[in-house]
Amino acid sequence: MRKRTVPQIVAVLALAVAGGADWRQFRGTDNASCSHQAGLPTEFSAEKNVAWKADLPGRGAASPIVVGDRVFVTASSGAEQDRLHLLAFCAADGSRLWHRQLWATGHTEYSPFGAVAVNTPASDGRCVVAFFSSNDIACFDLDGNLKWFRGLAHDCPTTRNDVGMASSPLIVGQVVVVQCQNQGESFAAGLDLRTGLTRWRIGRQRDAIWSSPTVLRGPPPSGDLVLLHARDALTGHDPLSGEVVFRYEARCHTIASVTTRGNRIYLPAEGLCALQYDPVSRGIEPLWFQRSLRGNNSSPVACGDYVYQVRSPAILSCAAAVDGRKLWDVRLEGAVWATPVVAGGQVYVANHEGQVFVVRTGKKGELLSRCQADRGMLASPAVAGKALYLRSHGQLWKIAAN
Amino acid sequence: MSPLTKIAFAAVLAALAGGASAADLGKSLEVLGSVGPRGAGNEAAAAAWQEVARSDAAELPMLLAALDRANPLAANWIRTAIDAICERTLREGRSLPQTSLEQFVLETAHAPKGRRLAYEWLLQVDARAEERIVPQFLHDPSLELRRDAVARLVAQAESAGGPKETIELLKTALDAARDRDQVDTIAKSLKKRAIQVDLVRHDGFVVDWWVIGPFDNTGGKGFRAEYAPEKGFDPQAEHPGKHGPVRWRRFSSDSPEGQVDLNKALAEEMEQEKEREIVGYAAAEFHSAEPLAVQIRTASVNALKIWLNGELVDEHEVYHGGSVFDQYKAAAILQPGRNVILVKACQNAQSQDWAEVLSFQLRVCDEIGTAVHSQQKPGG
Repeated sequence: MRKRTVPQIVAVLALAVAGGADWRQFRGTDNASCSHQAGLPTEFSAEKNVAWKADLPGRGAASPIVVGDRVFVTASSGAEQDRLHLLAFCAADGSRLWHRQLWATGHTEYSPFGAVAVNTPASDGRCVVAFFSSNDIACFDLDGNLKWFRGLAHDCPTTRNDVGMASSPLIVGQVVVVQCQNQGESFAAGLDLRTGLTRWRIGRQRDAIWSSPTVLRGPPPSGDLVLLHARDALTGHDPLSGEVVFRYEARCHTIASVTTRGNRIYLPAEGLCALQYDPVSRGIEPLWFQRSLRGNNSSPVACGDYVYQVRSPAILSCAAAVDGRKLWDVRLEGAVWATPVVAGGQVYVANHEGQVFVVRTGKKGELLSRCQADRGMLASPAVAGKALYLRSHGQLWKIAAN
Repeated sequence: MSPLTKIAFAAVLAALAGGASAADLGKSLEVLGSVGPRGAGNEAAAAAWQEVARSDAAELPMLLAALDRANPLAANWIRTAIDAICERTLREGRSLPQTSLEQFVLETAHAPKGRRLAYEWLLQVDARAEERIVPQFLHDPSLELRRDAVARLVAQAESAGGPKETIELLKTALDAARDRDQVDTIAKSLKKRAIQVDLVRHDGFVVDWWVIGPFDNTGGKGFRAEYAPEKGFDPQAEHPGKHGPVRWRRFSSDSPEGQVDLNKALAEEMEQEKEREIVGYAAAEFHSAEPLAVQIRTASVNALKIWLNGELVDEHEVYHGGSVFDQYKAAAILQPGRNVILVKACQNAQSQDWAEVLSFQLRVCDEIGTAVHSQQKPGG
């Protein structure tokens, strides 16, 4: 292993510390929907524990992300949903810091309850990459200065999905990974975070897939892998080249995304499939498969000794991470599209009607509260700084203890 | 001289009159206008964007005018810089150039998107602008501005003094409306008042067709196969189909949404009801008095190809991915006299109930969606 210099180590540690409290991309910085942040409220209401609410200028199923003292969220508006928004809010008081708009250059069809702002933005701590169902992607610095813009469907006009595309971008090192898989021209690409230029591009099967790329963390500085899955296989890729490192064939879920924890991979398939990645051989081995953890459309969550999965109809299931043994179910209500988050010993699950269920986790699960937020909630919450951030089609909420 | 070069030149002239920064601004705008597909020009544009975003709000008319000729990628670079300038100016407690913004909004020769952008920033500094100028947008080439005027008229209709006035206002709004949701809302309001709206006519759906089929689409190969109808439309011709010889027959859709149901139209020739893995063709004669630039807009859950006078104008090899009004838009030129629109619709092997549909909608319209009708009854 190559030796590191002291400044390099300091820089890596500084970045880790600085980013530790952030929620920088879809399902958190490591895509696991897991936060070790304690002190989040276990209930909230109009009078209690709602730190602030901010109106949004359009619809969206994209999660908010939190970088330092700022919260970023996307939205789409207009009769054709072709107005694309990126907004920055002050995490402390909810004031709007800046607002940038783009005109979609790709197609803006979406399912009736969805939006064009469905892809959660991503940040490396210095800039924010906003991606939309129209396959428009833009990078701004944290102050709203445009660094680059690409119209990926402007480049490939058949890249579209008439019920919308939903794959969120993933930042790994200096590469932004996007997966544009649909019945038209399909590809995954690694874009240079600094310029937006294409560093690599690999063809993908022409098939509608809504899942997002996921990072499998490896030894720094370049041991991370990018996981992509299509209907028939999970593949691991080198983020710098897109080269396939491993392939695992399975009948994968087309909407939910893969979750990782260490070298463990949780693949949503016809049930939940746990795999172990070996960074030495760069191979993959199946660990267990639990058919009863077949999810709805939300992604599995991996946190501590447990894995969680929302199943139809609105059941939160918890299983032991070690062997997939089911531990408990808690019955929820409504249509749950958003992936839950785990923080401070609680699981937070939001349904489309805006109800947020707070479930105490452990060897047993217990429903602690059922709180009402804004209706039209498809986005997974974000967790940062003892606060939970929720977004509906119309509003962004910060939930924190009064 | 390219339009952006002209803008740059104008900026230089302005600079000679009033200061050096305008020349730099012109150069920076030209850099933004040079961005192209696949990220071409991004690196230079990032630096130029900073320059443009530092401009004074007095430069807004020039920046907005740069949107007139900007490609869709460049337009986003320019637009975000305009937003940054306006946001900063207001945050500093200063105002925007209200008069020149309003003037820009009202000049319909400017790009619709730029005008809308100017209008929205004008509203930030002049709340009464809406009341003053929105009524002028009822027949505006900007659909976004027109939408506001239509919405305003609909609201007026709902609070009008009497039913006759309400109906007249709704009819005026319908005539101007182009967005589907507004058209539907107004049509429903009129229907409640016993006024039927012919949406097929309003939208310009083509409903009178010749149809032929089925042809083979086993394994999806039919989408690329060039069957006889693609070689020329002869309504008297007989061609070999999937199950034997097939002939053109007339079919008129009675769907209020202009849906052309090929399962119904070709039912007699199919081996079984709603047969899978087939291709159907539909041809329509469309008469134009003059050469006319139009859009042929279609919607279908089936794989489609569209020809106008033998020239392929649109194709989408997508099966059962969803369908919305005006899903596909293809630019085309009608020739004077008789034109032939040919549609190829393909059904795949999917067995689900929801995948049994084999149909399409097609309308001819201008670039903002105003119906263009055939000048003569097809076949008449």
